[in-house]
Amino acid sequence: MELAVLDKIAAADTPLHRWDGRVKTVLFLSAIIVSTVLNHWYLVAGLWLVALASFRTLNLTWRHLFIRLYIPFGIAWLVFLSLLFTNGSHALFVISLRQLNLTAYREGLQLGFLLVFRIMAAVTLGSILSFSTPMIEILETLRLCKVPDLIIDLAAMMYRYVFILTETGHNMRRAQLSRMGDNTSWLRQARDVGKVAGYVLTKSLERSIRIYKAMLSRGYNENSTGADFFTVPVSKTDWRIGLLGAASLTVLVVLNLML
Amino acid sequence: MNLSKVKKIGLLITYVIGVYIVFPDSAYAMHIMEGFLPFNWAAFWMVAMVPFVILGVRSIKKTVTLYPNLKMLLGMAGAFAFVLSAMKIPSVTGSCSHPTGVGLGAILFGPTAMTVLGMIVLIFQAILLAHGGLTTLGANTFSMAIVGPLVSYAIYKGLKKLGAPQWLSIFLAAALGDLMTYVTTSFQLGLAFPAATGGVMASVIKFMSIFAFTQVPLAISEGILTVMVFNVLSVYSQKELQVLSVFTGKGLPSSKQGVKA
Repeated sequence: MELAVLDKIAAADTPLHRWDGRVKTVLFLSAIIVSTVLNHWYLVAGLWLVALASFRTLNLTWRHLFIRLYIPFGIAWLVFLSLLFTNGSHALFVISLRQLNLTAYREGLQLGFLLVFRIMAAVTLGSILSFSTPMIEILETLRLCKVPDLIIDLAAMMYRYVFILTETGHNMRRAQLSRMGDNTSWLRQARDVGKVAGYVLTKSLERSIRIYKAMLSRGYNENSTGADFFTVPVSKTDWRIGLLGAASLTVLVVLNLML
Repeated sequence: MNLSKVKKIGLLITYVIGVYIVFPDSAYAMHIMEGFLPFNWAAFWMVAMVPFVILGVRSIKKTVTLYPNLKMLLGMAGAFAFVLSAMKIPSVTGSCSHPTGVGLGAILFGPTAMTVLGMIVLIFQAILLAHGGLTTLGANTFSMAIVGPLVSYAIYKGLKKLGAPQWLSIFLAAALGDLMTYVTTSFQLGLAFPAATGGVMASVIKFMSIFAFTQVPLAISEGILTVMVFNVLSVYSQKELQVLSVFTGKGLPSSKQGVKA
């Protein structure tokens, strides 16, 4: 998925998009952590279903989520298979392949389901957060959560230039391919990609110097501080929804301990 | 050979074939995915990461206080690291992979600065691309942004002291730094999922043998790529390399030394 498309998606207008970024970020990050804490596969599956229902409210096609999920799912089903046949002592069924008998175990099935649903739930929750919240809001929320300013400043700068550099790199590579083709040896291809990477780095270094000079000309100095990003307090409705979400997550954790 | 051994070998072969079918882009397998590690291990690696990140933040703060213009450069360099990790490089197996940028970053910015940059890149990859994850951020940062850069930097400096050619120092630093990232990931997975028979080490060896199929060729490709990048930099960006040497002290390649490959 093109990164620029993701930024447009995050700026759409749905109830989930309108929800305060601070509450949403904290709640979704907590939900991701909760998904790894849960030990019962059906609880994690429940969390995933809720996440899928939340995704529907974004008015996006399932394709957007599928693109995010297919690589993790690729690993998840392999993990599931390896756990199913190697983990446990209570046999469920046996698959006979000539001389080879593969025994599936109940414990392996449960652990396999748990890991698959954990991965799916966590990735879905992370995707919903990135689809519904601009990256700058996520970063500024992390600043409020006492993540060091230097890290947030660097991350914000990086995010600002990721799109430009990605485009520069793609354009250079496309131009290179259109002039030289891609049917050469892998060593030659590696050399070509290396050249593009080198030129992109050179360009980024030059650009950083130009930007710094531009900032200085506008009166920037090391003591300059930016204005607060969040100027409006969290509305009561957004707080209530956030508290409801937090309470649901607490119930899940308590259920996990009781069952 | 007894039946259980045949079964294990059969499973391993199926698994490796499966990995090949599902992951032509093998570098994605390097990041431990969201939700994969149990909570206690995720928390352990998060805690283990913190001292290195604090060191990295302190080191960057010190450099930025002395040279304020470098803050912008670091942001740009971090963006470059993210873009680099999204670039496809041809692997010697015939498929395509994505460079980690571990060696390149460690040589250019030093291992401590690379820890912070690498962590931010991993956060972006987790949030924007669903590669890696937030719960596994500690483990992934430890392998890719702490161990990998430290190994790369130590090899680069060590070989330079021994008088090895510039291209060889860069190639080995990048390739071995890349490999060590996977070795660390194998240990992390082995610790979290010990084998029923053989325990942690058996599991580590299993993960290493799976990674070896894809990551050894990838490490070689990344080593060559890094040499190419340095070649371009040493020819066209002498001034910028001098600026970057602030992070690592002296010792970056000059045009006279050249980087041939």
